[in-house]
Amino acid sequence: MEIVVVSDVHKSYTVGNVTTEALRGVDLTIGQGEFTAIAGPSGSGKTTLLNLVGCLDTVTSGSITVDGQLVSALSSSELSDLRRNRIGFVFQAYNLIPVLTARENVEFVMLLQKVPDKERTERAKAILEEVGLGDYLDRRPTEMSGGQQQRVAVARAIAAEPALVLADEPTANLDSTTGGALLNLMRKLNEEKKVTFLFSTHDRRVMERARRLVQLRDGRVEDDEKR
Amino acid sequence: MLGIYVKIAWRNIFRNRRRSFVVIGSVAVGVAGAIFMILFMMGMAEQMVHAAINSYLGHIQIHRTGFADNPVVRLTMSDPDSVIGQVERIGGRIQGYSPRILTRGLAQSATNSAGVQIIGVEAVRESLLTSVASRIVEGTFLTGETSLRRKEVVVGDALAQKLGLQLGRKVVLVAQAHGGDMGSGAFRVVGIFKMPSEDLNKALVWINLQDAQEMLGVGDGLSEVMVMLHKDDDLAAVQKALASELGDEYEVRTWQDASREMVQMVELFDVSTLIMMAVVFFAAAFGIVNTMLMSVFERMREFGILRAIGTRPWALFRMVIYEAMFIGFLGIAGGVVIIGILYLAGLGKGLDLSVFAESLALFGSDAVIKPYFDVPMFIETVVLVEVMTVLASLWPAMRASRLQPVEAIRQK
Repeated sequence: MEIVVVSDVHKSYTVGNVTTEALRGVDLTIGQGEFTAIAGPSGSGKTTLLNLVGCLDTVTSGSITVDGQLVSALSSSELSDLRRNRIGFVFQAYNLIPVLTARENVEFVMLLQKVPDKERTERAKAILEEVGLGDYLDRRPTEMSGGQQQRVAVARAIAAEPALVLADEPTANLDSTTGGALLNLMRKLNEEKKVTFLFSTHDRRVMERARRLVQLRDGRVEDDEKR
Repeated sequence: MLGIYVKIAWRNIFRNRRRSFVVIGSVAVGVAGAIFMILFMMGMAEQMVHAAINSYLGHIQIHRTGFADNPVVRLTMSDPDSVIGQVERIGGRIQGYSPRILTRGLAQSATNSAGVQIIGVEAVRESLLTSVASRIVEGTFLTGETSLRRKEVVVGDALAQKLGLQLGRKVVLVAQAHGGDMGSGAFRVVGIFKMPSEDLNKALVWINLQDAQEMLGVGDGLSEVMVMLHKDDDLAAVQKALASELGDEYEVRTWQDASREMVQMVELFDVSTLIMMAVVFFAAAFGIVNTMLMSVFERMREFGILRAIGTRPWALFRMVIYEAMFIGFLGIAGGVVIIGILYLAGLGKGLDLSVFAESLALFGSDAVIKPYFDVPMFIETVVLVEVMTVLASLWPAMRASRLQPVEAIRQK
């Protein structure tokens, strides 16, 4: 089943009199259970593509379908709902709510989804244990390392049981060991829980672990390799 | 659901402790300043009014109709017993009454003369009701002794100075008597008073009622029956009751009718208190706008992430408002604590403004201002501060809720 369908998507930004074309006709289909990396040099359009798939930004032309819904047809609050219920996000860094503990951060999305109290608490605890942070439930982000914070972010992203988890260079701010461990975790969740991951990277070691590698260059798909 | 936003808002206050402390502190100081002003401005107004009521005005004055505008001997009450009978019938709400002769006249000493307001009173009744007896700085108040050779007079210190009077010295009082003749009498100074009001110290002269009646040739007639109440709140009711009982022949006036200046002064005090409070509140409001804006701009990325993971704009708006509400609550609590500490530290006993005693005397106020705690005004202040805090955070809250997630996330 197709979770994401990107058809002939163009995206340009205008700053002053200068128009920059970030995406120039991208076609991409992501199926359920995929573990796909989008790679490419800086400025190739990785983040733009993820923002569009994540319903955070709108296309200039072309269309995107997420979980069967045509994104351009949705209102702002319908987009909020789609993000909340169907998409999990992991950003590069500083992605947690600093005043909430690890458990509360994970519970937050479930709160928005109105998951009942007891189920929410149990699920948050189980997921944090799953990502190896069972002993850090009541720590705030500032009391955790960068790698631990990213694992909480992954836990939060999957807690909502989304159709798709988007991760924009999740290992960029981590050392190679911690980054490798995070990737192992994502891979494990993909294999055991069938969570669909779409992540961007320019780290060669991360690309090697992906089951599908999409190469972007100058706003176009240069290569699409399934392994 | 509400809980998590309240929780985030509350914890956000402790994120930048120094900044929160400064803004909560400024609200606290503003609130303390406002309460302080209310306590003492109201205290001062209250004191001025009571000084006037207690010095000689009384709560209610009963005269023959027309006397207040034209205080002439012709308008003396011919049947004062019936008036006093009505006053006595009012009963418990009345602290007491004082039958009086009031007339304008001239006081002459060996060296000088001055226009005065002569008040003839029953010494004991008067000293129980008004403050004049307690304001004597030299000698005594009237004793009520009316042996013809030594008629008693009590004068203010300012008048004594002007006329060169000392205790035991003679002064001649002259006033228009019944039938158009001039009445006069020789009096000896038995006491000198000093009231907070300089005007009263210059103008008032107290003599015994019987001496006054004789001087004016009015027999048992009275110019005024002054009524003092236990509680200010009974003023309107008692005035109305007396007016309806006494009919058209008599005028029943309250201190407000008798002293329009005092009423205007109190109104002026209220207005200036409001203006000062507004200034303090505006200053505090700008502090809050500034702090909330800074704290919102600092957290753009965080708000962006909250929006990205599905938080609705309205929720972010509320979060910022809750934060401001907490700042308001903490500031108010701080302000109350500051006032509480000052109160215990001695402010409760009154604010000693002896340095400004002369200026205060112009307003008829004592040098020590006692705080007056007005509960409704206190509640209004607190509610106003809270409302203002919320209003001040509307704009920052709007900024937070309107931001585009993709742009907010791009910020580092």
